[in-house]
Amino acid sequence: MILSKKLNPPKEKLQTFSVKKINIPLILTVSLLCWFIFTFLVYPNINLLFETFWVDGAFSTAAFTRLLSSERAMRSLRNSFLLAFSMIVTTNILGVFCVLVTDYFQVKGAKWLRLAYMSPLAYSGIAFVGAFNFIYGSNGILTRLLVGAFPNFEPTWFTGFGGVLFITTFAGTTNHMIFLRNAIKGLDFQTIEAAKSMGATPWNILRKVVLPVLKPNLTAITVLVFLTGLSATSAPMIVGGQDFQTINPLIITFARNINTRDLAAALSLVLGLSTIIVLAISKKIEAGTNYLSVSKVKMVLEKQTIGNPIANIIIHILAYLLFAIYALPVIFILLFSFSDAYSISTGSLSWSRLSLDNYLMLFRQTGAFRPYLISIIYSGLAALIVVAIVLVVTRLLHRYKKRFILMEYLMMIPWFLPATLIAVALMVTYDRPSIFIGNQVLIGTQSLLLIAYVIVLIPFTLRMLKAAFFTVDDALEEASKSMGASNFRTFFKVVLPTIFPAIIAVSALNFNSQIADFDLTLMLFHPFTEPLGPVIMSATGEAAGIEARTMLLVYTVILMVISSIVLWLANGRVQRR
Amino acid sequence: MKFTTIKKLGLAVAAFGLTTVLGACGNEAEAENTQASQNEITAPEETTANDSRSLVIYSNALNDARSAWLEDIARDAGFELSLLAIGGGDLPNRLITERNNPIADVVFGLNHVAFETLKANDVLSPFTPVWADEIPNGWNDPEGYYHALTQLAITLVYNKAVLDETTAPTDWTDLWEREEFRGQYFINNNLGGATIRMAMASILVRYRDDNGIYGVSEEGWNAMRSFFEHGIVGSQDEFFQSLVDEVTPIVTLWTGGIIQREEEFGVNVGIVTPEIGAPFIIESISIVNGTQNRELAEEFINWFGSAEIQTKWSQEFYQVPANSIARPNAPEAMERLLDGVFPQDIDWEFVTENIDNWMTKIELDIMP
Repeated sequence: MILSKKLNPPKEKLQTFSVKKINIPLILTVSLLCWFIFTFLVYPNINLLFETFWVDGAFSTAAFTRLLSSERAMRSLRNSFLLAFSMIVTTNILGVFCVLVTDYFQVKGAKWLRLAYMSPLAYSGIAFVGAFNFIYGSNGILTRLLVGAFPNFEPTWFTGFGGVLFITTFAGTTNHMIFLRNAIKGLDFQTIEAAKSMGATPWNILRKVVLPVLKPNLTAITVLVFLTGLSATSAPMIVGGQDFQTINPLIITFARNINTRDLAAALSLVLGLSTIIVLAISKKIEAGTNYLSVSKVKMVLEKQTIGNPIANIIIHILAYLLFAIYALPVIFILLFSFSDAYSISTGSLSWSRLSLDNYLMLFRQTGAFRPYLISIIYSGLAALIVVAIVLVVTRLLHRYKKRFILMEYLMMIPWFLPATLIAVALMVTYDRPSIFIGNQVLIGTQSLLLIAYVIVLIPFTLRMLKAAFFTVDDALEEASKSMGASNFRTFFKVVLPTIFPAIIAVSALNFNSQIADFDLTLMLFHPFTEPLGPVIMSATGEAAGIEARTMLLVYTVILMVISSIVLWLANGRVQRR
Repeated sequence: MKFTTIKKLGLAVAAFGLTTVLGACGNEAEAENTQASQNEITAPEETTANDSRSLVIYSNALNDARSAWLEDIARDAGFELSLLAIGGGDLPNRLITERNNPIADVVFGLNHVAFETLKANDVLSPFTPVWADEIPNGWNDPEGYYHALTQLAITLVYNKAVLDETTAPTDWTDLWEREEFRGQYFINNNLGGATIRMAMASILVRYRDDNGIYGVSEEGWNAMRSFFEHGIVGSQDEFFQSLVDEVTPIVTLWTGGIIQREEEFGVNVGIVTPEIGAPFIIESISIVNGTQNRELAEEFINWFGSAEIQTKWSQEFYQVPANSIARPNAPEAMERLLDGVFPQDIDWEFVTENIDNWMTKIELDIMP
């Protein structure tokens, strides 16, 4: 059956597409998509490149020359690549280990371990880095303890490449915890049992049975990890110190100032080109490793006991060490958010100094919750819209693979460019009436930020939903159709439910990634609807005082709570299915 | 067989058509929803805007406490203010970006270098407030685009627990010329901030050379290089903490921020009074070109810049008023902010012309 499907239907589909030329809804959908892609993904960026490099009627390479002669820019670029490549190794090792501990091996207290390992999902970006810095930074709690115990201890031990890699590695395992866990759960227990009965060692089973199943997911995640490393911003800014600065903070600095936008654009081009190369390589790897589980009647995986007692102990120790690393920042942030500025600046905790004052102070302010509400609305809408758009695109990709390949590539554009540059491109292009958006001006409207959120979410969503789409068992769809279900019915009754968990998971992640967004928001927000990012910024900025540090913790805690609720809701939805 | 295939095909096409129609509808509904919720967000604001007592004000001189205070006192005077605090580096860029669809009615707090940039970009609209004559000569824009509110100096300050008048530096140049200050001073790594830009300008203008790079001699750039080489470069959230913790007892600060910080951090700060003088900054106010609320904006500027309100503002937040009637009423604690610090002779036109290039050069070639 599978064989016959492979031979026939693609031809049929091609025919429907070319013979029935008057498929108006399809044409409408496609043209709508084309308009969207051109107006928001292609044109603004081309326009920006044109405006920055086309000086006085000639192509100017002045920006590149300046950057090439700047030692700082070149060093930052090198550091970005160093971080990205290092992260591929460290994050994958850590991520795979975490997933094996929580879902493959029999480890005591796996439930709690999982909770801690998943904590980065609840607070991303600057909040996560801030929390780690709060423990390990030169003013951090652990650092103060160590300095107290060993007077010769260097308080800046965490500053530099090591600290940045540490933080980005621990922040980078979220995708493993979601997508790799799902893949592990999809393992066929019978295959493992069979391997065992044939005398395979646990190590060999891991290598020859488990890892190959994880490989497609791991490839996708590796690309994500590499890109996060390349565009790391908050970690190098906060703990990079003088010796380890990367390229994205520099791009942000340059993009914000009108006079240096050409430098930002030039640096972004370099990042963009490297991203394209990485994606191309990953596509090659993916094409070679299309692994399919052969069993159609899958048995639920039973956790594997670790036979070797020494290995068992080592794995338990490592697992709980990681637990501590993940859990400590959360616990301390929570505790200190109830304490006063004195405790925070001295890193000491005492019961007498704990109170609800900070929280009362926040909520006593009129409209203190408004920024949260606005951020929730923006991120929620963006998450919804992006899933709607991407679902249509993935459906098209799934059905007419080759014909929409260009569309797929164009939708990946936001991955090639730093978010700040996308913001600048939108600002530069739509600060005057444009025919592409019905002669409207986007600057100074609330929709600008929403559009930008949708744009930056597209690549991740497309990547993950496409992967989900292609894991839908063709046999299921085939069965549905052969039993007489229409294509439409098959899509809504068979395909959609199958990928529904992925849709929910991606939406929750999208929501959480935008809710406290910083760079993009700061440049594009409308002053009447000020989201969280700028509010946090003004609470910690140059003019803010000592109370700001306390309030930052309160903001972080509330963010964690909101994000956790979203994840919990999403998880509930997925499990009920 | 053939017939059923065709039938199937037809069905498939129809089904797919439906899917896409629904898909498209879904999208459109989504879009409409967005539109609707956008309108919901905008609507109340717009109606209040048309009620004509509501103003949008951008400023780099606001924080939570100041905004709350200003909102209250303005409400009593009949203004409904939407205040937006933006850093001095980002604010001009935002105003220039929004110039075809301005949101702000009034902008205040920027220094005149920034105001000159805004003027050149057609962002400002001229207006002469009733209190213009109460401002010392030469502080207002001669063409009437912006008028002075407060005055401050950018200088070095030090932790008095570590240094005293005899051991503290006497000028920026001491920082890299004298061994004992190596690693003892903090440099903000965000060159977008107004304070650090003015401090850099104060150093660079001393090495003016029209044949040099951006009007500065090689010696000047070397001095700047030494300045960065021997200082501790860090993020702005930690700069004052670094002084309090005695990690770097010397930092660059604007005089308007000194007293508030001393009170908050419980620390005594000494002010460096360079012999050459310190950059004096006039912070001004202006109407944004293209405002829909021009009359109200004028009314607000007349009110906010008046001697009465500026006196209150200075007493509450220790800002030195530019208004010569308000100035003598400033709290006593502020006297030392003015003692000894006198204006450095700076060709501001030269600074305005070059400051962006200077900052870019420092970012690219000098910063570590």
